[in-house]
Amino acid sequence: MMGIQILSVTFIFLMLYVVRIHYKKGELPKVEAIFWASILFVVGILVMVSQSADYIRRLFAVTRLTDVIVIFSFMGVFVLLIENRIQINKLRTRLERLVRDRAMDSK
Amino acid sequence: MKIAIVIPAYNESRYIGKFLDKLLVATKQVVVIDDGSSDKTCEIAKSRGVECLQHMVNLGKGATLKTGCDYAFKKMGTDAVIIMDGDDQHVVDDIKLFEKALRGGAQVVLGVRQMDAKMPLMRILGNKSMSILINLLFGHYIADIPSGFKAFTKRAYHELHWHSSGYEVETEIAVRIAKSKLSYTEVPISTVYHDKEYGFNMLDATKVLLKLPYWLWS
Repeated sequence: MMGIQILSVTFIFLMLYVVRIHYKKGELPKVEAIFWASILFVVGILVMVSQSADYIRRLFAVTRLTDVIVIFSFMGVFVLLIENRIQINKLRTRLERLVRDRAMDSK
Repeated sequence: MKIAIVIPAYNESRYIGKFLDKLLVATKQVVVIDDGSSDKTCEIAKSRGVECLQHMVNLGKGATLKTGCDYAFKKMGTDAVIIMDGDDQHVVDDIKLFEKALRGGAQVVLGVRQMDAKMPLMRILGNKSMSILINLLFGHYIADIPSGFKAFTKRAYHELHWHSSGYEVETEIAVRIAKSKLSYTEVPISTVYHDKEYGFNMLDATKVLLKLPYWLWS
């Protein structure tokens, strides 16, 4: 097993543990916990048995499987970034309105 | 013309009582907005017979100003507001300059501090740089953008309608004045500096620079 594979598998186990902890605490819904665990499981398989993903590599016309993983990871990160930003802005606006209305109504 | 004084305050128990004692000699139309202070800011204001609105949590200066202006225009029925900081930096006698300008037809009145030896050097450089940058981008030279002593009429307040909730609100107001057709005037004000590290800092300046492109195109 190569160094990068050991590092990746360690990271995947760590993230699975993080998902489990948040699920147990009730901070992550069951469906979402299964979704993240499945993603991590699939990535783990691809990392461990990289030749099994030759079909995907050929499909996207790239020489290395890592490139496919990196491209999809960036896409995922950007989706999460935009979604988080929109949700934070929404929450901030709602919180500000609530706090300001309550301050004025209390008089 | 009915004019109210709006004072945004956050943990100002050290100075607010002293400031209100001086202010109440000049006017009784005063409202303090306590932005979720952990000290006795609001109790001190109430002990002077001043109306005090309290935010449950700290939202920032921009949101506090909005609460104060909304309350003054909607509940107090004022025609204009004068905004002053609650840390006793401003001189009460200067209110007359703002009232005169508002009664003279100005929609917005901006207080300009003297950039002399009393003002910290870094603040002078920061203020000047921001004024030059706003002038380059929006074509109006506003001499003292971070000044917290300013006044708006009701119409101007609705037209400016800022979105910033933190300290960057002062720059957003300057940008919106520069982009609007509102008539504004600047008046010289005196300032007393109590604490050189207090208020607008480098982090706020960075936020302002990051938001400038958004204000430019919005």
